Amino acid sequence: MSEKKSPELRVVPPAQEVASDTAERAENASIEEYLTRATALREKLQFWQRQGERGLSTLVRGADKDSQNPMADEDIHAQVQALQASIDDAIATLGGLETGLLRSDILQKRFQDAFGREIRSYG
Amino acid sequence: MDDATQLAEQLLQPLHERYIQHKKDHAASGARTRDGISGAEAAWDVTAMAIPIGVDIMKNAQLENTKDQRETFGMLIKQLSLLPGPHHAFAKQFADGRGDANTAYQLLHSYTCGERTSKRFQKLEIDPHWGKADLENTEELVREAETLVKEVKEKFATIEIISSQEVSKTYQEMRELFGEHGFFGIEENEKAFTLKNGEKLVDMSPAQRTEAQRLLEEKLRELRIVALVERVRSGEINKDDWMLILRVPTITVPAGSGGIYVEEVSEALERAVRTGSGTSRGGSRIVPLTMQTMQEYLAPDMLARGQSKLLYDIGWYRNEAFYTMQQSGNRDTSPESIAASGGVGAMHWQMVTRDVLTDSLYKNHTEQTELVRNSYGIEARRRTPVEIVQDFFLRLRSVGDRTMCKPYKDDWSDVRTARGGFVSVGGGVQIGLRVYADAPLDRHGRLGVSPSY
Repeated sequence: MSEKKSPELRVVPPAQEVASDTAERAENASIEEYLTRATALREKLQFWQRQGERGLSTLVRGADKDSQNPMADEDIHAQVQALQASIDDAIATLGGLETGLLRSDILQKRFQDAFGREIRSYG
Repeated sequence: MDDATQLAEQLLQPLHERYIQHKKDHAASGARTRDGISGAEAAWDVTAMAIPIGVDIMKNAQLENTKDQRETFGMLIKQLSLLPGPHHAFAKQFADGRGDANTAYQLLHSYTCGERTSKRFQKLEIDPHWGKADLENTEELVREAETLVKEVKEKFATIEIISSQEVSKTYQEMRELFGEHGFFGIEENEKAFTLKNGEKLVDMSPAQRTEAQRLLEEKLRELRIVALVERVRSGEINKDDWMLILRVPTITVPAGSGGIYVEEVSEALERAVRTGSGTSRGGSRIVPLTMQTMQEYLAPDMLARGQSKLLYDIGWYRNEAFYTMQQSGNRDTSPESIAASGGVGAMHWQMVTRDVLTDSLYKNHTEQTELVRNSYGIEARRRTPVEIVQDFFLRLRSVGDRTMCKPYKDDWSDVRTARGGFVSVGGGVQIGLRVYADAPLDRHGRLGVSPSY
């Protein structure tokens, strides 16, 4: 015969707490999802960042070959510079976003749960 | 590719397929090859120059089969040594009776450029052919990043986009916490990798610097590291027992230098890097940071500065994969693994104990691993040989500290040689770092372990 559970062990949370818990979990999932997306996007962009000016120049020239109106060398150079800058900016912003998400209260709470105390910020 | 080279590639293909199958047959379930059979071991087995794993010499059929395999390999070598191509140097070594497991591995990979199995033996494409669609996709990625940031800002009002200045604060804080003998970041790497003539082998761009700082921020969020840093802060553990190290996976060397490395020894790795991430920067070449590239480009500079030798004698291991191919930041030595990470290993941070654990001495490899896991958790791991050399080099060049660990003690890695021993690196006195291979069951007072995260 199985032992009956002690009533004290069955803690039924109030309805409001259940709702808030569900919302928090949904938000938490969402933060993790954004974090994953940001990381994936940053990694893709970093592939192009690693190509450097030379690689991006190959990319722009390759695209130029496919187009009907070939660009002048100066225009290609300008486009490469602009592309490089926008990639660097996007990577820096995504990096900042990732850090922001990591520092969010929700993820910070996880640290607290794991250690039973507040973990001081590093920033 | 001319006909002769194409023919050589075709001749090698069946052997390569057998090698892949053999590796699969003996790999631990779901694990990388180092957990089951290494690439070099598998390559050596398919040559049948020695009795391969799993062959029972008491069974005639198996023994006969092995003899046939050896004969076929001998004939293949005769043919390959007559044909030009990237395989030639390795085939020639076998033809001259000098081939070993590592040569077999390099021979088998002389036509692969690091793709995953399904793409092996495709024609090597060094110059990328990007077109309009690629440019549009790249621009789309930039736009997607902007949209993502906007979306997050709208959804979570409290989340801030942390600027690079803020990330930089964390970096500075860690620098102060660990001090000059324990923190090896951007500046320390750049200083260490600057040659006497002023040439910088590590010269990080502003974007790379920001990325390094962001990676530190990320590292400091790992639960194990959070706990460790907290204990360092509170003084519960001695900060001098730990080092926080930025690992750079590549160095930039002058174009045209290092001919031996490029043309003969690490052809596959070089190609993997070339196809993966572009290696040219203003007339220079980017090469992976391996023990071999350190020996080739940095050891002469150490001698020039009166810092004595980097490695004592590379004689016995000059063809071993841990020396020629294992790159800082990569656990695996195979070109496939390196290519899988985008051509080169990734820049990352590592927390390393400054010295070998006293308790780990006089223990065999398995007992040491248990000790590390019990005391430091399952995330803790040993350093690879290239990481041990890199850390010694960083300490020597940044703060003039030549002691790698306790006198006469070696750090025992979990990287195997072609013959199966585990590589240990130690010493560090004026004669240069000594590198040994020790059998897994060995116990010795000089063999210890420095755990890292």
